[in-house]
Amino acid sequence: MKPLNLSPADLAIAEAAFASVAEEMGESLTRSAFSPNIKERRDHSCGVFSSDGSLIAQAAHIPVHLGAMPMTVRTILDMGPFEQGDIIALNDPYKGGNHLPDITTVAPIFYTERLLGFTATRAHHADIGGMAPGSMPVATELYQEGLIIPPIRLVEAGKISQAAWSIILRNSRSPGEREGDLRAQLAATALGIERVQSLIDRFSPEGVETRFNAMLLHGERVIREVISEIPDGLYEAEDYLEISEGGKIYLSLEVKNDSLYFDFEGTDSESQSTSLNAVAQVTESACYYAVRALAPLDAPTNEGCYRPVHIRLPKKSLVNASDPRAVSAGNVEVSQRITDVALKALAQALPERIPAASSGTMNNITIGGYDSRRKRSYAYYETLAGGAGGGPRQAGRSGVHTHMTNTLNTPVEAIPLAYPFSIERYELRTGSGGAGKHPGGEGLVREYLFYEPATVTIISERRKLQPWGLAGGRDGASGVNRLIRANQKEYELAARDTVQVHAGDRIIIETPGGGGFGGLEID
Amino acid sequence: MTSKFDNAVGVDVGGTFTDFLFLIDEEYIVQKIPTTPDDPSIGILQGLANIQTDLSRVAHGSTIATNALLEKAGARTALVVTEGFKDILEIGRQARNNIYELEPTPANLLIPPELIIEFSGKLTPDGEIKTNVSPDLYRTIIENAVSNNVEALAICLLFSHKNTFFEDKFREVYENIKHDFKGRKLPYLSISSEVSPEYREVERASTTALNAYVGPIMSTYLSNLEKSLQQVNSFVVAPSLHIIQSDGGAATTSQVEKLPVSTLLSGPSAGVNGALSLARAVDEHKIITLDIGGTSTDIALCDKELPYRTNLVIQGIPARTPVVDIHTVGAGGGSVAYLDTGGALRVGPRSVGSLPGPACYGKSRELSSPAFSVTDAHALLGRLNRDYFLADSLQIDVTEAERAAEPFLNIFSNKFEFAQAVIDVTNANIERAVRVVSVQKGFNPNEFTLIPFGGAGPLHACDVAEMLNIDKILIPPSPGVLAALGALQAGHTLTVGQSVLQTMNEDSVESVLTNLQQAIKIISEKLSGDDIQYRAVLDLRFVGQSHEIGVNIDNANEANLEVLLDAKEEFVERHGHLYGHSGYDVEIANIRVTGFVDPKFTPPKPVLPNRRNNQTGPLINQYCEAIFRGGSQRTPIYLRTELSADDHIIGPALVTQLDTTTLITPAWLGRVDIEGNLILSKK
Repeated sequence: MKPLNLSPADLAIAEAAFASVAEEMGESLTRSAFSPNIKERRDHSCGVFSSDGSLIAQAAHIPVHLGAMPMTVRTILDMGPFEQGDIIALNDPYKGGNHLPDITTVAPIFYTERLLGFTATRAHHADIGGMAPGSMPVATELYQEGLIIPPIRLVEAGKISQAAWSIILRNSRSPGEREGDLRAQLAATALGIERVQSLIDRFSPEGVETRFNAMLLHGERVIREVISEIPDGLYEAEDYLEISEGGKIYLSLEVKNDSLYFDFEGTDSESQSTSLNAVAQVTESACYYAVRALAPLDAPTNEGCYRPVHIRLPKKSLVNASDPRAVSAGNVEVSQRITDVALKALAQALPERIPAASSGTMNNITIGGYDSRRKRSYAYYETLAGGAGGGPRQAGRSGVHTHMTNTLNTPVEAIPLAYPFSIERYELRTGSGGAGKHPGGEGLVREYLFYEPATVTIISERRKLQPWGLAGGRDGASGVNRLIRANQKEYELAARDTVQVHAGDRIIIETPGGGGFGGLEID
Repeated sequence: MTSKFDNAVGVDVGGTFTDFLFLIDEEYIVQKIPTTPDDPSIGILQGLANIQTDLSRVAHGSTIATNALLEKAGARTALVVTEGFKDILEIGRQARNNIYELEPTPANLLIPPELIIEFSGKLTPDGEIKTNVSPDLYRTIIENAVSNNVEALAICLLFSHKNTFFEDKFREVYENIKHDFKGRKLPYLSISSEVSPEYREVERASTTALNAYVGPIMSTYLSNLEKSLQQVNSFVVAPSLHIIQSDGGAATTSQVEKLPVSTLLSGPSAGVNGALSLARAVDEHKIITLDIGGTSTDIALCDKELPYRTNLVIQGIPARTPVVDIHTVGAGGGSVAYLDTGGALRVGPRSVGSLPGPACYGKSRELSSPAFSVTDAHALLGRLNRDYFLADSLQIDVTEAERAAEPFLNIFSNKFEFAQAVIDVTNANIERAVRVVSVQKGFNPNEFTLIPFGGAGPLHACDVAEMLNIDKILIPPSPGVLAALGALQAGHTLTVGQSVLQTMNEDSVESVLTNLQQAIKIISEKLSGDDIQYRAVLDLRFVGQSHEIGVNIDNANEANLEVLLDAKEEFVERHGHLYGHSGYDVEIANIRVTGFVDPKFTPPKPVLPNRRNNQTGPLINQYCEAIFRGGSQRTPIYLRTELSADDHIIGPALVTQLDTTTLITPAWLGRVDIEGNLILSKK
């Protein structure tokens, strides 16, 4: 392999320095963002990139952002030449984005006249328009999901484009919040540029390029080392989304020396009737996550890590959707199933490392309506955790977000302060974890009580198909969505459903448990 | 009490040493005694007995609660929660600690599932009683706990921040049945509306449970220590005993018995408090403290005052209690160097710990491949003077450090280059942590003075300051006993908080004032002294937001409606400044009032040695060969005890003292100020 051309200490120092920039940008974004989604749930990522768009360092709180950022920066490279003070914004899933609520900014870093890299921020905005509050509707076309922002110069040589700015704000149900969050992204961008420039002062422009190359090579070495520990072979796995068109996700994974080849040929076509479609970069994120989770804790996060990972995606498929398919659930649901498939394949190679399937859904709930007590319209979005799969080391943890997400819940005491509904029950769903030597974690039960009419949208998975057990462990229980009307009549809701509720109605969501690991010993 | 500060002592119990800073007849006396981990009070009493003087006050940074948690040695605890929410602690915020964990680490549960009791009484979100219970239920629950050998009982019911009815009943019944239980011990009682009366149920329940978990062990410790203090011969009257809380303030033992959860960051916060007081004495108001210990570095950024926050996560468990805002990073003198699988040099977070300790301490001679730590790097570079390190109590064995370095010498051209690399990587990790903390607070670190302390802080200060573009470093006279100093001069504090949750406008502000005045009344009844200062923090936000900005009100006892409305305006302005927009309706989430009794502590004038007539600077004690980037340099060694005001030292130089060694690199200058601080600046 190529030499690093940098001492082991200078390499570690450079990694600390650029990781610090990404982290500082993330802290700046958290500190100055307006909306709870960014500020408290930390649904955002920041990164530093080289001039050819390679990811150098990333502060990610949510794995689904891992692979998506490099593609974003590459997409905008042909918008050059750039000027100092330019900031590109986009959310178009077919031009570098992943789903519409995630707005990404990319800004060039100049040192004197020379372009030395980029900084990028990505944040999940609570509403970007479209047919339902929260911009995560049960949709069939991208246009229904919200305002599409192709890559545009939102800021040109330091000057905000008022035209673009006003269009974005006008298309959101909560323009004040959007403005605050976008400004927070601009502030984080400015900080990132300033900090990288000071590092160029410290290391010199050539020194920075040497360091970027060494860091990428280092990431590559660490991951190649991880892969070389995996036995060579061809491992196949499939799993399903619960959609009428089929929903099969198929992977043949080849491990060859220190490289991995993910081939999804054989996966079903993209969904015309739902938004359960992953764009390519979401699929890549899921694959990268599976590899990254095998790496040691001290591994860096840069694009070099992905060089040994080769991914082939069939066109117009569930894992590589095409314009204008709806994609909002690709990020939150399809990404989880791709992870399941990737881990299922890896489990054949690494039975001592890989746990059984976790709940495999983020159980997305969006509630919207008019709050007559506070005299305002509202849109509320949350995701619910489930059981983690039992693993070779231990039983699965109960009631925890797994794999591609890690966002916090909203306090039960906070909800009725701001919205006309409350949580009446929030506890583990006893018996939902699959049995096994190391049982799967339990899912959750969350019961909502409504005080006023509202529209409730649920996007969930694993309502029929159960999270699989492994090595003889049993499957976890699938989830259940129920509506109990004020008159006590009970209805089962679909995995993806929109329902009008009235005062006194309840919705109960029971989330899936994790699969069990290992057979039970029977005397 | 007379106007002068009476004889007193500040004590900080560390992992290895218990530090004492006595103030006797307006002079400081430092003492260090090996910590007695099984019962820290034994070491404390030894230290107190040694001094043979009467004392009026013992202020003590305590690790009792923290250790009980770390060692999972707390009480058998039961938790009463609202029906339907029994798993509140296990679910927590539904997130895992590390996003790449394929098998998420299980929640750290202090309470076994069979001791979680669901309570059928319910409140509506507005605090009205929705389902009442039979009055017998409270007694039944307490009696069942007793028969289940429960040592501590925590109560946390939903919406009790709105109405304490059910929780108050538990207290009432508990007090009533005390006399029925003569001979049998009632469990320690920890009630959420008393411990953490603010909304957000996970943090409230967790804090209440944690408080219960460490309550009995703390109570026992305090009553034993108080008894022992009465038996120290040299005390005419037993001194008053104060425990340092996580907010840096002192508390009476009865206060801490009820709220042991307030002491989880006792020692570290006392250290920051000590550093800030030294800085203030020389008119430095913006400081970054860098406390580099054996396994970790604590960083705090103070802009005129101690930085606070109210949420802490310790061992994965959230606790809501006022704490000095300290950021910890796993880099210290004992941090171990290694090469990762891709060939980068890493240092920490693994540490050699106290056993075997750094290779150069000579306790790993038996090991075939001892770990190489940051301290070993300093030893190799000639910075740990063999004769003066830790006052002769420990000899430095450089050959052992060399042996530990051997495995790395096929990659690094020589041992010095390797040692320097280890230091550089450590400093880069510390720099990163300081930068992230600074950005969180909205500051550039170069506006601050660096105050290094802990065993290794002054060895790293010049390099770290340089990386952060900080041009001034203040090394306290005794960097190793800053926590004891912080304890010694801590004022008595008491914080009363509550959720208010209402809009904040001209019509509604009156009830906010009423809440504020109630809190002040509670504090005034509990704190002694007639010159209590009150400071309030209003947690304000715009309607629809879920995060708050704390706005301070000084002299809160004089606050009127206008002051509160000004605070609201300040919030709107700050929000606009921070986020570039504002202007919706403002609401108040919580009020927190802290009463503070100024101890009127005047630090004694330092006793600095007099210069002999014709002597212009400090005497160089001896020279050593220390290694710097440019190579080996003849480096003078000074004894800190010999330094006097206005002495100048030109780097490179080493200054040694009982508890630490200061490294002045070739690019820096030292000067001693009138208070005995060593001030370093760039050449």
